[in-house]
Amino acid sequence: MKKQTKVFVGVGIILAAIGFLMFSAFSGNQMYFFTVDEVLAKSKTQNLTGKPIRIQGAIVQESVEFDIRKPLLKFRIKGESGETVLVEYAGVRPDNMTEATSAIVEGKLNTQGTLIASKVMMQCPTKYEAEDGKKGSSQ
Amino acid sequence: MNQVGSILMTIGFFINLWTIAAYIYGLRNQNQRYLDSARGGVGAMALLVTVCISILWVLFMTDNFSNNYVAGHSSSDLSPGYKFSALWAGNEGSLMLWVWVLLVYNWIVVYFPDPKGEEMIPYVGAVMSAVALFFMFILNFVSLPFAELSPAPAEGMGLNPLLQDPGMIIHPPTLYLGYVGFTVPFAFAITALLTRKVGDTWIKLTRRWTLTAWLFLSVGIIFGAQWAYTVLGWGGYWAWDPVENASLLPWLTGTAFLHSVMIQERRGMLKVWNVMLIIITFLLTVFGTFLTRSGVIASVHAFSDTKLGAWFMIFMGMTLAASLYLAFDRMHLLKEENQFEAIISKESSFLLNNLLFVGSAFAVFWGTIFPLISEAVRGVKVTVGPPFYNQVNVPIGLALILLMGLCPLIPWRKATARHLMTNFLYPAIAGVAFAVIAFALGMRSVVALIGFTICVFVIATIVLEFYRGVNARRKMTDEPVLEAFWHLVMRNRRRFGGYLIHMSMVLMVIGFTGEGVYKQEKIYTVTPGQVMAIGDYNLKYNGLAGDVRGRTEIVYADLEVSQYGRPLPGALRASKEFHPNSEQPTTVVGVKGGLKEDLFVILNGWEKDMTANFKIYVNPLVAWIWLGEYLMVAATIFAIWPERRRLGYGVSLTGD
Repeated sequence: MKKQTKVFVGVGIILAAIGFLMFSAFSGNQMYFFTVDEVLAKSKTQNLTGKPIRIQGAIVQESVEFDIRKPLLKFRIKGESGETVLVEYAGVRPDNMTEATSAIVEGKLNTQGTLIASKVMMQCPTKYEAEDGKKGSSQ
Repeated sequence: MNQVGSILMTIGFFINLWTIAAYIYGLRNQNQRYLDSARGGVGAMALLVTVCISILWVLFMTDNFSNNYVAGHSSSDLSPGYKFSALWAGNEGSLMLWVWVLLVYNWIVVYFPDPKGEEMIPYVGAVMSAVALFFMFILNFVSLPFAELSPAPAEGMGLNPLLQDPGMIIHPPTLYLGYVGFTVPFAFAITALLTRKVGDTWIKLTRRWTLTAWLFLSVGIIFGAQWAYTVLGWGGYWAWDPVENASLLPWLTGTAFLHSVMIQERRGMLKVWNVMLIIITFLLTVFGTFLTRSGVIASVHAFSDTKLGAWFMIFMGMTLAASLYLAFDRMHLLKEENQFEAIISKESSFLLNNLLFVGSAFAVFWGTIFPLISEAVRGVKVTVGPPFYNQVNVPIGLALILLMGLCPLIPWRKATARHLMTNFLYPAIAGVAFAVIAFALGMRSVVALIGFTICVFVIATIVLEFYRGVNARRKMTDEPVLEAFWHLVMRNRRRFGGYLIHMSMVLMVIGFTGEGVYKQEKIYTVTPGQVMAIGDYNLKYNGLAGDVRGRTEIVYADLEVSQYGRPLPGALRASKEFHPNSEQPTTVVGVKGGLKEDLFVILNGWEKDMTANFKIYVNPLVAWIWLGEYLMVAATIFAIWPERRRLGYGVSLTGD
């Protein structure tokens, strides 16, 4: 075999290896990103239980319960339709939860349709990074 | 002041237009008067924007809330340092900083050219001015830093408390110095294509620029990680968040570029590849700014400004199209002067290094933009989390580290078995010995065994290289060991600087491996008097106390720490701070650290009866990452520093 061909074959093998690495890592780690309404609609037609998903929705502030002794955080997130999903998170209440308007939660739905969250992220009103033109206006 | 600022910015925009036009006309018609005028334009722009950013700084320092941007990002009770750094807390100021750095770089390139590349300078100036024009356009028509607020509020909205940290004074500008720095080699590469002089001149002339940009980018990234670790208090330093990925992407391709240009310098190979790499790297720096500033991908670093995003897309699309057109049009000039002569040679190991870096960059890029792609194609947003990035990048990273030990010792052209034997016998023995001992001592994690073994192997190859160099020099000169060592490294800065940078990477990988594999994490809810146990540590909680600093109220817990049953001196304080301008408290973590591990405590919350919740981590070897960071800075500066010419200046110009 010519030297050049050998090098090309070598490059091919490396690229294939990286490709395989990407492919195998990719297939196991996809997470669907839904809104609350999408989750509720989807779970009527298919079984989402146990699949890793990420949901975004508005926080229903009255529903927030936090038991520091366990610790367990429970709250509801609301879609545009007004329907809600209950979130349970075996962790602590984020510092910025009172200020936050919406949350992104990652986890799996259990059979009751409650999202058992492994990660809770708050989205704050853009106080420090307002949309252009509206900066500095009173809040 | 606001009006002066915006008028000066407008003048700057028009001078920018003129500069580009004068460069084009001057170059087309070989008209020196126009070229001189363009050169003056570059100086004028740098000066004007320096004045403008100074005005913005003055507005911040004097609490002038008639400026919309100042009012939105500062307040009168901030300390001067944070008023200063609030300049880059938002879009307008960040972009202002970007263009200011770019114009100062442009000024340095144009006014202090290397005599070897003087005829390239007008092209380089034109390309850099064209890049600047985009940012000047944004600052004049889309995001206005001098927008007035009337009536002016009595008080500003304050600076996000998370940004009130010394790390945040340094992290963004460092990152930007790096991002923008890659514009210089990019502009030289485009110039090489435009002028059809595609040899290695553009690479030689930009080596220091590239290394400097790389240094700032690296420091910016690690500083961000350090800040995340010590300030954000979630127990880690890297989360594969889109904004973090955005800074890593140009680093990966830029590092590939730093290596592959050596092949072109030495062997006249990989010319097309090098041009493509620097184009991609430059685009990725813009993409990074775009991701951070447009909020197009949901990120914990929430910024949002969709209008800005559209402009960035247009700019990136145009730059990509123009660069690719130019590269393909000049493809026939980029002929390889040599071919690969053997499958095991320095050339091929560099090629492998590049494939791995670019492969890693591609995976990170793919993962980062996948939510956008899947939404466009399938109508549903799909994200990939940290496991994806780790599963791809940990093997690639380890392969790269291994290659770092192999590559420098493999000769150019062709390696022989005997050669490989003499170079790798001892390091291989060291690696195997380490693995056996570690296994015997109970290390069972495959990742840790492989990772640490590779690190030991690479350290051994580097030490061996220093040892051999010193020995060879002593045979020639009879110098004592230290003197021989000193002369050796001082006369081969590039080579030994490179080895030291490799060493710094190994130190970091030791940290990554230790933290990644052996991290421990516990959550406790305790009442005063109770003890929390983790690893070798016991932490006794004695209740909470309060303190006031300025207008900030602090609630803290001083924990009594003992290790192996022996008390450690000094209490470990974890606290929450309540800033007057913010409803949300800021968590300040308590860290007791050493080379072996960090004990890391977060005060999560409490109730009236002082029942408190803590999250505790033991993070092994994290300090090694920061050690590696410091070594990397020192070693890179060492490698960049001009070598003292042994011959006179005039002689070295033709030599080299």
